[in-house]
Amino acid sequence: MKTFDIIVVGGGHAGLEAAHIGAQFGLNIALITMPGIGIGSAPCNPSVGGVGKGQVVRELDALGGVMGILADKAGIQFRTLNESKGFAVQSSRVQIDKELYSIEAEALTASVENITVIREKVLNISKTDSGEFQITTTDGLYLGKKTIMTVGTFLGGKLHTGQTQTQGGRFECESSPSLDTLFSQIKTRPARFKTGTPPRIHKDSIDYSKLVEQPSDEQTRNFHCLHDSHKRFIPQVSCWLAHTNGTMMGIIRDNKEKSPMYNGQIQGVGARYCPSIEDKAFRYPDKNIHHVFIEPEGLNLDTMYPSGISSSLPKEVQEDFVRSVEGLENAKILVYGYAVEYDVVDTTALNQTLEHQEIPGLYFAGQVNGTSGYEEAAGQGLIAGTNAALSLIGASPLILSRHESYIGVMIEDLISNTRDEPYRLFTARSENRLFIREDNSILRMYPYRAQFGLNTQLDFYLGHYIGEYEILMEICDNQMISEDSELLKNLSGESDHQKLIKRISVTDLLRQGWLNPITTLEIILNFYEMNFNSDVIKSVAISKKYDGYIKRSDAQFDKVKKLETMKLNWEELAVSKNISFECKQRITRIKPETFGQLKLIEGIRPATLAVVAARAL
Amino acid sequence: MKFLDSDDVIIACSTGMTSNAALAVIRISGFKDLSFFSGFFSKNLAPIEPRKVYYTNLLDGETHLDDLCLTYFKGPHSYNGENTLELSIHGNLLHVERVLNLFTRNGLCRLASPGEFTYRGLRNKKLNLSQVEGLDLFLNAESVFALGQGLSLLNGDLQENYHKLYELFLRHKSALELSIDFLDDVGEETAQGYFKESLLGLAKSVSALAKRVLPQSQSLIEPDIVLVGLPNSGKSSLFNFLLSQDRAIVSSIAGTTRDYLAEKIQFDGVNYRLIDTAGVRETKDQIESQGVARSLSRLKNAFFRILLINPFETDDEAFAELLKFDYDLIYFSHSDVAGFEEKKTLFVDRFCRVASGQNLNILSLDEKFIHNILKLHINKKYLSLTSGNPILLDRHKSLILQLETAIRSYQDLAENESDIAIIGSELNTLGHCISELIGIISPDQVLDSIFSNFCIGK
Repeated sequence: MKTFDIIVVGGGHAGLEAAHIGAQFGLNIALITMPGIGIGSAPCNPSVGGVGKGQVVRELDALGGVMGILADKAGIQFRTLNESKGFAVQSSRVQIDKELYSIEAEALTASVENITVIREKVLNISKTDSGEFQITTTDGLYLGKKTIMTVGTFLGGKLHTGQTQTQGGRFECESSPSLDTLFSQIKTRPARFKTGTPPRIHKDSIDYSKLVEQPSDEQTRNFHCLHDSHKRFIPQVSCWLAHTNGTMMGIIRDNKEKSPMYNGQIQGVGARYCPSIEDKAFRYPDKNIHHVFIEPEGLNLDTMYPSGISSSLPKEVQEDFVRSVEGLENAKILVYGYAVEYDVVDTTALNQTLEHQEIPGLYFAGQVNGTSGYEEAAGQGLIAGTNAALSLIGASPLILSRHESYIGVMIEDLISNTRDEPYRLFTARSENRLFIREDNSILRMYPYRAQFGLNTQLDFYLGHYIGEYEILMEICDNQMISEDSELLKNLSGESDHQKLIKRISVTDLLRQGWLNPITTLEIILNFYEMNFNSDVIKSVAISKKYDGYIKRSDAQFDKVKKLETMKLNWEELAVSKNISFECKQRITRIKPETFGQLKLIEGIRPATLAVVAARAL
Repeated sequence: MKFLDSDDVIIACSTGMTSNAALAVIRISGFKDLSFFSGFFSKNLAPIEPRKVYYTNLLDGETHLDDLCLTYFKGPHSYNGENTLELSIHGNLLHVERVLNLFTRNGLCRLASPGEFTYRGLRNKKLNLSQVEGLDLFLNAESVFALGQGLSLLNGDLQENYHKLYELFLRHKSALELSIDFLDDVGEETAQGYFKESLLGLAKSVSALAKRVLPQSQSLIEPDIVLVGLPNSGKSSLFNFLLSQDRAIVSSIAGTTRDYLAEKIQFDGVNYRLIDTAGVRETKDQIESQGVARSLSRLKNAFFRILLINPFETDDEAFAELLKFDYDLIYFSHSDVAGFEEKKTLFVDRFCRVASGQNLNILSLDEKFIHNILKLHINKKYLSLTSGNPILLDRHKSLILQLETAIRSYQDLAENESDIAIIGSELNTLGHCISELIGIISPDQVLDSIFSNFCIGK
């Protein structure tokens, strides 16, 4: 029997991150994936990033993840979303060549010596007396000290197109056995989740002259910090914008009884933020015009992905409604849309490291946890993989605070609440949006990465970056610009009606509302012939600009923080009459010393916190 | 509040302990079940049904203490959500104390702290904070209006207003989030429109609430009618005359001090406190000068101020001090003394120029007539102040005023700042203000609001 330190079950975006980060610790990793599917495949939108998600990809990148590397290499159209909305909410999104993405993922994984890829279907997982996991596949038997489940939509997966139902986790893929067959100790949530995809259209059957072109943006920075910031690895192509219309929505409304989602065939709960075209037709009966982004799936692939019209209607209805869209009159459908229903685990049974509370050593990450999106999956994969590794080498766990990262926001949201629909990150989920930005992801993640104690090229770069950042922050505070400085003439291009009335520091100058902080800092550094990394310049300029607002918002949270550091006597709580039995059990186990720690304990009820907090007031 | 976390069985006499009465109601709350009372009553309580009245004897060992009626309220269907027993006993104060002692002497029950029954209701979510405040207002109301507002708070009416405010805030916050997280879905124009429209709605609702915050409304909770004047200006005489006409039935104002005399009088359903201040004049007497200072401070928060003037005696310096305040009414006394009209005219000429700008209601009637006129003026003022349904509670008033200021500066920012992340951060600050009034708004609720109003998604 082959033995591994960590066995990762599932070769999707979560599994990839878990395997690669584990390997960076020098551990022996197995990545077990369904035969016949390339690893890191993108069955839904062929894109990586987006509002809130771009931040996750950059957080991952600074922690040593691989998603950014792969997205850059397979990127065929780059965009900065919310460009006009302010720095904090700007996010990068990359359309990927999904074929190439998977090829790059395969190559990158193959290049890592201590990752063994096993292409077999898992039949059973059991825990041995010594606390290890024995995994039975169609062809073999493996032993892992830790196991990470990143099985996506494959648990008890069922596909729907019209009345046709097939078992499977994805188009032309078989599903894996349900979780209770795999692992009888673990309960899935009684409710199943549902997601769907649109029909894929042949790229030569589209009349592009009727669509709005969205070319790739040269200014969008690559995700991976070690890549040349704006270098493109492959040729760039455009996305196209089309619109739905009354005819199309009418066709869908006329076929209500044929829709598995509306005739009762599908029981699973879909995400409200990811509605199928049927949802749009029936929930918003007065609205007929919706955006449809037509996205290329790859340079060498014939398929285009029409984002916004996922559907599980019968094939002939899909054909009808697609062809009613302007520009798609002659569209040829290559793959029909379908909905997939699958089992999800109850994430409130996981702790902050994504380890199952009742089965130490077993971790869950990705869509199986009820999240949607490759980025969310990858973020969890990295957390689970890192923590499995840290636990094996006896180091303290990696727990990202929700005040410092979107990954932290996501994990806390997942483990503290039972969701009734798939979870997706939005910037709205963060209370600290001005600070959790793309531009300062290295600053935010470096302290965590440094704790891993690894010595890679990435670590060297990050350390250097932080050094430059700190120096430039200090320069900004100390360097004064006098009101008659030559330098100001260079800035007047920005705005000619404002003048300085006295000498101020660069920091204060960057806060002037009439200046763009980034170009201002660039001009100043040019003037003094100082040379800094352009990413550092950008991040410092934005930090200075937001500083006052962040401090203000921090002050609001001070009350909360004060409460968090409040000392408490857990022995007293453990016998309190006002606290539920389960909470007391958990308190006795974790022995929290502060309110903050108490709050972090999984499953502590709000009522318990209220009782304790009330005592403090 | 020490009792925040206590689960003791508590007892109190809910009908007050100030005088003997026919009945007194004793309330006991927080016991596990009725076996708690075994031995105290001649009747076996085990089979009794909640919310029904039973007649029984109260026993202290072998001794029969009283015949009484009791009612059992089983939690959570009781006032505060706990098991509660109410005893209607005879209301002799000595007896009430004896009964309380019976239940507390072995540490079985603890005397409840003031407000503790209600606090438990709050803890058990039978009431919200506004309702508790309403109850307090209701129980201590000095006017029909305050009674009304107390009841309205208790019924959750004001809370409903706040809920509307909450909805509007939620709408606006979701509009902001929409334009960040879902711009691709809805487009810039829709997002902008929704943002502006929702902000307008929110601001309108805040200013409607702010209109109900009057600076004088504190004086409406405990309205004082204050008589001011130099010594010998006829204050005491007017004070006594008014009392003889309208003394309130309930009067429990503690002691008389050198500072001022106070008694309750009732006009048209409002209990006013009539205050006769110490005569104001420059004095070297330490105690008296303190009295003067306190008189003036009563004046500051008074609902209705009457300045009494004896035109035959003047003390320019002291009088100037009095004219620093506005008066609702100026009354010239000693109108029955010969030469009054002449003196009065002189006085008005000399001093009321100083008091220019004041809305002078000058009266010089005989005491017999002043009563009705005064009543008229006071009622008129009370009605005009309460006509806009002003909010009486300080906590609410100050939060609403804070909110009004915050929303104004937020509107400015929204107008002038192009960085929506900054606007969003400031909106959170505004949200802290709102959440103190109405409860915390979670990101999930914001997203729910977006999804219920917009078609979002790929």
